[in-house]
Amino acid sequence: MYAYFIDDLVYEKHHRTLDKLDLLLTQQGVSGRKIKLSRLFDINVSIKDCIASGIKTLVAVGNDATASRLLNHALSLKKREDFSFTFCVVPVGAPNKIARLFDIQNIPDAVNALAAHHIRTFDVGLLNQRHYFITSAIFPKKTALRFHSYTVSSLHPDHHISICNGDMYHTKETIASKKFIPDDGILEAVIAYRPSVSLWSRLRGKNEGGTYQPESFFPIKKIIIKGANKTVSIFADTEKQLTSPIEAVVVSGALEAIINFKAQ
Amino acid sequence: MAMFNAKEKGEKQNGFEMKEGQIETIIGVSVKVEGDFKSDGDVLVQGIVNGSLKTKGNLKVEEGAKIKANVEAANANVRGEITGNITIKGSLELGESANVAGDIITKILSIEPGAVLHGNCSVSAVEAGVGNEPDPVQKPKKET
Repeated sequence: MYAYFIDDLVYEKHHRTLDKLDLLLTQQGVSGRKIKLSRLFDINVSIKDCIASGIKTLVAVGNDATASRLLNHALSLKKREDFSFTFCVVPVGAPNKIARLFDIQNIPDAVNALAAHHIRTFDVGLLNQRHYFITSAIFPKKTALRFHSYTVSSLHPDHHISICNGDMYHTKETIASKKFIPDDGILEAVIAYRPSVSLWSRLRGKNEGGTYQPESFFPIKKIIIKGANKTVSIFADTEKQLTSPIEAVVVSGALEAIINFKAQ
Repeated sequence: MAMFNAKEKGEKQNGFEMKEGQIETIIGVSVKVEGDFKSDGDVLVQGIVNGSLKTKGNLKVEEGAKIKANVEAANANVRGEITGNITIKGSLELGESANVAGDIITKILSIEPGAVLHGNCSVSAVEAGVGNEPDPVQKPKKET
């Protein structure tokens, strides 16, 4: 049995996409309970209700914010009341990094994945014992990583620090390519910098320095991140405000997710 | 040609391979690590390390890297600067751009022409390990 948690924005802006999704789910025989997620909606009550009625698969229909919201509530509830569930995302709107982590690029991918029901276990990151993330947590400039016995800081003026579970930098076939394994019980602390681009290059439209390039990698299980201010605005799957210092730990194998399995 | 082959063979016998995908920690060019750094896997240093550096795996110090620390590793390939004592269980290679100020204890040592070394060397077939550490390093005297 499936429960689809559909974001309010999807109803408002993507109603045609929703009709298409409905049709595909019915065709594949994976339709289920539909729950509309409005801003003031008590998501915990719905999850409890779903689990009580035997629903084991919770599906977020929307973007990363929708998926992150459902994931955080479901994992927090699971910590308090022991139950099991599998998670999936139907990507509607942007950004959709969580869906891409599950190899789901679009709605047909998601429907096929739900029908095939191929499950993979994922580690998740936990910030300040409250906020879960599955892709990465990106911290602003002027933050430092504090490990058990040493600290790491960047000397580059335009850098950022992130804690990654998946390959958010698309480092295929580079030195870092094998580092991002989302079920190895380890997260990667990454320091990335943005190469400076000359004015002439920018005028000529060469914006190669626009993206951050990962430079340093530290495998972690637990780390303290010290921000420049008391309140730090970070991007952990979606935007969050946390109090510094921020403790990040890996919760090994905490999530079972349905992925779009492609046989090699 | 024969000489080249012999050198190549020697490098394979004495050296170690650090496959790119297997490097656990990379300390990049613009990164500074301060404190007692410990790792279980292979470590690549391109930036700055101050304090101490210990790894159960292999260590590669690239040209331009600056380490002011006592270093312990299974094997090491050094092409950067190290100010501190080096204890290596297996083989230590000092590349042509290496600049080491400190004592060395290792099982196998190879030094390329051009490498700079200020300190004592202890190379023995007995595995270098805990208890065999050299005395704390003193700052090298400036050559006039």
